[in-house]
Amino acid sequence: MMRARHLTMLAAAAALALAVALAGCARSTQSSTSVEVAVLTAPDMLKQLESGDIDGFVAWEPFPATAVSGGYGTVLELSGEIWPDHPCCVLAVAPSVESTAVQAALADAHIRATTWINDPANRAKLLDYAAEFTGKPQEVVEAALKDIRYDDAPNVQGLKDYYAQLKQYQLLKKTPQELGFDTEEAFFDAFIDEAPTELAKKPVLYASQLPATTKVRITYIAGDIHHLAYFVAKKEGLYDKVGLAPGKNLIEVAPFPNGAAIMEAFKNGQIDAAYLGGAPATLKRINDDTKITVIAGVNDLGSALVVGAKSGIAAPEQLAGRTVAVPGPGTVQDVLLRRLLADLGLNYQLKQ
Amino acid sequence: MRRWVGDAALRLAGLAVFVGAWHALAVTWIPELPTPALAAAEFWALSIRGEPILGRTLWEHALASVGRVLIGAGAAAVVAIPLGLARGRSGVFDELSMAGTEMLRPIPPIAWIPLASILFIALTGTVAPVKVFIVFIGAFFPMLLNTLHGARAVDPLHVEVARTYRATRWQIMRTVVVPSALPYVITGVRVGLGVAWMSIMAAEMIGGSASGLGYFVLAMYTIGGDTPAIVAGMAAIGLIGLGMNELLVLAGRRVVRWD
Repeated sequence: MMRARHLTMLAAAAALALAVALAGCARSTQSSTSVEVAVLTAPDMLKQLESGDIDGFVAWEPFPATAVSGGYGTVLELSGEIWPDHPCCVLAVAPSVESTAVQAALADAHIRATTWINDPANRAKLLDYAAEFTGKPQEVVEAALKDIRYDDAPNVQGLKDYYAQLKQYQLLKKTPQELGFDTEEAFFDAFIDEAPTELAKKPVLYASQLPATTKVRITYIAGDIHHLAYFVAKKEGLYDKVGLAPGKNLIEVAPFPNGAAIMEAFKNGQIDAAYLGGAPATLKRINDDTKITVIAGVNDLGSALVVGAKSGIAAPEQLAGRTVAVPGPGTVQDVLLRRLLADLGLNYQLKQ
Repeated sequence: MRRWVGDAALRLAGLAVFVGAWHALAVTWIPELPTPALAAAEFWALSIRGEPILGRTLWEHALASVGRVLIGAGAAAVVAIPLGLARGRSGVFDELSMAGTEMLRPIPPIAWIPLASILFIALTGTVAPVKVFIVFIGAFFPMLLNTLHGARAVDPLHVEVARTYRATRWQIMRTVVVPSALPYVITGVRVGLGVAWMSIMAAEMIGGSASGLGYFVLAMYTIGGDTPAIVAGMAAIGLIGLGMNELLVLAGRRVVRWD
């Protein structure tokens, strides 16, 4: 009697486990018109592309260049081919940076660094800096730099396009009205302030106008070659030129792994200024009402769709039925993949 | 009967105090915290209509998590229970296997994630089994230790009697040790499943696939602006954890009638 009850229970448990397993299998069966999307950190994308767990990924440099130089990945599309002139990183400040002079000084150092990066005369030194900043070999950073457009002007139109897509994908949880703006236009006017870059371009030094109490805690994303301007400004003494002395009134906060973490730090009041992706800056500015202001552009473009060297994928249409990784829903890379798949008529399906 | 009614009333009162305190906290002090009513409405909406960004209902996420837990914890039971019985009945085997298990036991399941990723890529060429493996590690040790204690706690007199009737080692194991250790084994499975449920939440937050309640809660946080969805996800995690525990308590009562 007792044994029979035992067996019944065991059988029931086994049947349940089997049903769940089967349900899992049934779900993972792919239709030939969809692409399975995995969510991974960039270092994991590299490992899983090499192992064959994923067939491709969309990531920012230097990760595509790293996969190519490792021999296990090839670039299928540069991000600019999917979305021309798409926005990428920005320089943003917290409400704690009230002083116009401080904002202008930050923009000034940033513009000088961007100009320095774009000057062909500095090429050799730039490669050294890029290798040091990212910890990647010279040939990797050289390949990575080709895909990035360093531009200090805020990409206002690009960020507005991005916003429209966030809305389309239902990623926005709040409306401009809920944030206290009458229109989307009014929101963008407050969110992206072009005054600091305009002031910085005037032949005036703001060093003497900085309040004596100035203390700017600044940060960036670890090893992100898009944020090279920060490193260049520091190394080339450009911050000192505008009256911001690293270690004195410009305090470097240890870099963060991604833009979402930087937005969290902004919200908690841990930082005053940061280099970060325009995507998390916009998404969290709206969804979490984290009150930051973009005071300069950092770069446009600079991401790529990479496929496994052994995946046999030679054209975007062949992504059907395959697995592609992105860093997270709502990232620029995620929007790039969604755009590409929509153009191809393929479904975007998150991995089970 | 009156006792039962009294207990039920006390529990209901306790629930009312909890929900009331939560509501008061949300209304008066922490506006970021959704009220119980708002969380319940979100829970309902996510259960029926699903969540638009990840494109799944709460229960589809729950099914993914439960599936991983059943497979990982099932595998853990298949290894841990026989190992525990063997260790409990053989002093030599116990001493031999002590070093290995005792050294691995204090390592929390999530601390295994990096090494597990490397090992699974090396051995199988894929990281797909890592989440289930983390569940396995979480469930394994509570199952092993409880079974071990159960096997040790068998009344020596019962074993002696069986020996007197010339029962073989295998017969003693089957007819004396296993039935007597069964309550402990079931406790082990229950505790193991609880740890497994915690482990899968952590493993899903590390990423990979975009399913499971752990991933859901983290994704809602990363995207931001939807605290009710986070609380609804946590409620689902809690309810399923509670359900699994109660099921095993019930199973324990049914199986172990003589206890």
